[in-house]
Formats: sequence, C-alpha cells, structure tokens
Amino acid sequence: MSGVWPALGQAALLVALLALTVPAVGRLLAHTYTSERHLAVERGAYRLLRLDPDADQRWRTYALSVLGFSMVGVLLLYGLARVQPLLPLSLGMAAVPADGAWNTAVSFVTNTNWQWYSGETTLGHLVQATGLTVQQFLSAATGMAVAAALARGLARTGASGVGNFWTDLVRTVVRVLLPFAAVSAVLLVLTGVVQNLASPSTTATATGGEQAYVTGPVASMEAIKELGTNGGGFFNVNSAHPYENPTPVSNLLELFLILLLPFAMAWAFGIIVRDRRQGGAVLAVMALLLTVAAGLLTWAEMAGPGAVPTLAGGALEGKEVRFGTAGSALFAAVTTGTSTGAVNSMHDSLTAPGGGISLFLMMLGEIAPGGVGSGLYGMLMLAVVTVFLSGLMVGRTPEYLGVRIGQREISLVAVYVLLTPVLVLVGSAVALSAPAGLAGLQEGGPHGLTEAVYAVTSASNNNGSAFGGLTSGTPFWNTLLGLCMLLGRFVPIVVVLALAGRFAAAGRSPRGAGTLPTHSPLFVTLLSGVALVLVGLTYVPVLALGPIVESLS
Amino acid sequence: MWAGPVTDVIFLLTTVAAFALLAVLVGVLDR
Repeated sequence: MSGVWPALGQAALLVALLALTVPAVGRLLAHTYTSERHLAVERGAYRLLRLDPDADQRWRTYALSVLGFSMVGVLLLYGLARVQPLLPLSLGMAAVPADGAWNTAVSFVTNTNWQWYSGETTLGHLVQATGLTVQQFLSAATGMAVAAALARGLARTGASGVGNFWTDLVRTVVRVLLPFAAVSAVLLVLTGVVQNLASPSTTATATGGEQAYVTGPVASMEAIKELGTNGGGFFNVNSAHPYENPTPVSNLLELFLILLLPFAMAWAFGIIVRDRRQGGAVLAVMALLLTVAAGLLTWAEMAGPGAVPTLAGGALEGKEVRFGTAGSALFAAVTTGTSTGAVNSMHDSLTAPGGGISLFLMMLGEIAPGGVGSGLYGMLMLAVVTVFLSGLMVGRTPEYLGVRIGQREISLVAVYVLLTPVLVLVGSAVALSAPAGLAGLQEGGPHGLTEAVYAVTSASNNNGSAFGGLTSGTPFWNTLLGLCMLLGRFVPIVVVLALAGRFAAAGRSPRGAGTLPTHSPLFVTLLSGVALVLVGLTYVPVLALGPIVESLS
Repeated sequence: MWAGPVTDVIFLLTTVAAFALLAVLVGVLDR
C-alpha cells in the first residue's frame, strides 16, 4: 500500500486542474454555441462551402447533415487506407485489407477509434496525420454539435429549429479543438512526446539483431486523441508507449485532456439553458460515478483479492512501471468512463474485479463523464428517464426543464437506452456462437467471455479500448465490430436530435409546488441510481458469467 | 474471398446502405 499517497496526490492534482479550468472552458463552449457573430476564418469556410451559417435547421435537416457528412468521412478514409501504397509518406506500407480499412474508417468517424492493427507497422504518416487525425477532430466536433443541438432544444420554446450543424461543426473545430489541440501538442512535446516526419531508424542490438525505432507526428495526434475523447493512438500499445506517454507528467496531462471537454460540456449546458444549477447537477452525477469507479478500480489493482497484489503491493502485470499501479488504474477508469479508449496498461491484465469495473463503466453508456458531446446527451437521456420514473412514483406528469415528457418523448428515450444493450448482448452472442468469433479468443472460460464481451461493448459504446487477448484483425471481427460502432453511434444521434426538435417546439409548463427540482442533491442521487440500476438490470447476467465468476474462482 | 475490388464494392455498398437506412429512420421519426 506504499503507493496510496502518490495515487491520492495524482488524483488531487487532476481534480484541482479540472476545477480551475472547467468553468472557463464551459463558458467558452456556451459562447461558441450561442454567439451570433462569426469569426473571419469561419466566414471564409462558409463561403468556400457555400453555406448559410445563420440558417436555422429543423432537427431533420440537422440529422441528415450529420449523416451525410459522416458517410462521406467513412468513404474518404476507407479510400485513403486502400490506396496507401500510392500516397507519399506511406513508408512502404501496403494497402490496408478491405475489412480492416472499413473497420478503421468507421471506427474513426464514429469517435470510437477501435484499432485492430498496429499503427507503426500498418499505416504511413500521411494516413495517420491527414486521415485518422483529421477524423479525430471532425468526429469529436460532430458529437459536440449534437449535444449543443439538444441543449438548444431544451433552451428554446415554440421554435422550429435546433441550430445549424455546419456552423456548430466549424465553430467547434476553429474555436475549441484546433487551438486547444495546438497548445496541448506543444505541452506534450515539452514532456517528451515525439513529433517529426522521420522514417523508421534501426540500430544493432547487443545480441547482434536489429531493432527498428518508429517515430512520427505523434504529439499532434496525441493531443486530439485525448482532447476529443478519441483514443486512437499512433502506436499499437497506445499511451503505454514511451514515445506517446513518456513520463508521469505527460500521463497527468493526458488524463486532464481526456476529462476537460466532457465536464466542460456539462457546465456549458447549464449556461445554454440559462440555469447553471442544471449543468452543475449533471456534472455532479458524472463526477460522482467516475470517482466511485476510479476508487474501486484503484483498490482492486492495489489491494484487491489474490496473492499477487498482496505480496507485490499491487497487481503489476501488464502495467508500465513509470506510471505504477495507481497511475494505470486511474487511467483505466478515466478512459472507460469517457468514450476515449486510450490505454496506458493492458486491460487484459487488470485483476478480475478491475477489468469488470472498466467494463461496467462502458456499459453505463459512456456518461461518467462520457465522450465530448455524447457524455452530455447520454446523461440528459437518463435525466429524462429519472423524471419519468419520479413522475410515476408521485402521480404527476413528468417534466424536465419545464418540458412535459409525454409518450412520444419517453418512447424515443427508451429506444436510446435499449439500443446499446441490444447491440452488446446480441453482438456478443453472435461472436460467441460463431467459430470465426471464438477463433479470436486467447482464453477460454470466464476470461475468454470477458474478452469477447469487452470488445463488443467497447465498439457499441464507441469507446475503442481493447481488453487485449482478442485477435480482432479478422474479417469476422472487423465486420461485426464495424456494424456495432456504426449503429451504436448514429442511431442514438438520430434519436437525440429527434428529441431536440420536439423539445424546441414544445411549450413550457410553469414550475409548481409538485415540480421535481432537477438541480437538487435528491435529483443527483436519483439520476445516479437510475444509471446504476439500468445497467445492473441489463448486464448483471453477463457480468456474473465473466468478471464476477473470475473474481470468485 | 476478402480481397479484390468485389470486396471493396461490398463494403462501400454496406456503408451507403447503412446511412440510407439511418436517413429512413430520420424520416420515420419526423412523421
């Protein structure tokens, strides 16, 4: 237990950094999504794209814009990976196989960043920098735009539109992601992260062999990888690689970047709906769930069941000694609580309860605090479920921020809440009943089950972290996970935008004595409980057969 | 089975079909 104080110190420093910055960044985000003024560079982009940035789109047009833009992104990225040998800076890499190129294209456009391949041996600099990194900006901006549209829908009364997707997209990239990523990349370089366009170099080893060193534009990719809760790393081992995450300082910076925008979006929500307490309540639930999960995961890795953690002072297998057990456990909680999926340790080597907690965090639906954008709209969906259940208990018509939640609204939320579990459970069942699916598993028994369920859960929730052990670079797994990523991203987005349109068009009920305050500690407790109970009811059987059985054996 | 232009066409059509179905979903929910 000698690492307890450093672990607490690291967590305290992270909390302090977030407390200092989240309110200011939240104000910037709120201004970005409500300002009526356009920057000169934005006006240039609109002229180039022949767009009217002031046109207010109905939710249908907004949703079709999201879908059209994302489809083009998938097709372009797919083409880029397939013609890689013909491109400059390809470093002699071959064309990516069709199923792998499709999986990667879908993965980066859906903000999942699931990586079936080793970046350093599969992709050249051009595809990494102009294909994957560009999509890391655009997919993050898309998620944030959708969350902004929902917040606007809740802020408007009797309106036909929810905003303009193209304006939200351009503003998110120009005002938030690009400047933040540029500063972050410089800070990462200062901590030792590599940034160049060099070809791989080789050196002779002591035993007479040859060792290749691959470097490249790592820091620029790393910055948006964390900031946009993307998670797709330059190297196969992601943030466990010393060129991608060299020191405890870079590790802390990466943790901070992962959490900054999801929490700031909740703060911005309060400003957009003109009641900061609402944003505070959402942020409190996000923070509460993450804190409890990170604490339990750290306990499991440092002092959990088993002889190894007891004797060694922590489960060290699969972890980098420069981060230690606590640094790896905190990263595992943060990366699965958000939809990031970056890793600085092998999640396959987490203790059984530790692996179960990281799986549980993804099963929550990426709300603690979730992805940039998707975390906020996921939490707001659960807030609607909470007011609905509370309304049933006291016999009142449920309402959220003055909007009455009727049959149509709760039906849409039900589709949102049920879709991901259906994808996870059906996808896992397909994988575990097909010989091609079973062939990818490294282990049998409960650990093998967890390997498969973790992969499908990661893809369906657009997380992207890999448990390890699973050989997923096969046509079967690439296609199955690609479909899970695609449906797990865009069906919820369509539902959220449909709700945004209904909220914007609806009238507002005056607050009465029986109105449930949605900013109170009681509501924070109820919302946290609803999130946990929904996941518990849905996933307990599969968790029992996987990590829980493994913990007991 | 998994190589060549036929496979490319299959994945490209899958992409277009998936987004077309999502667009249909938008239309259904807007009714």
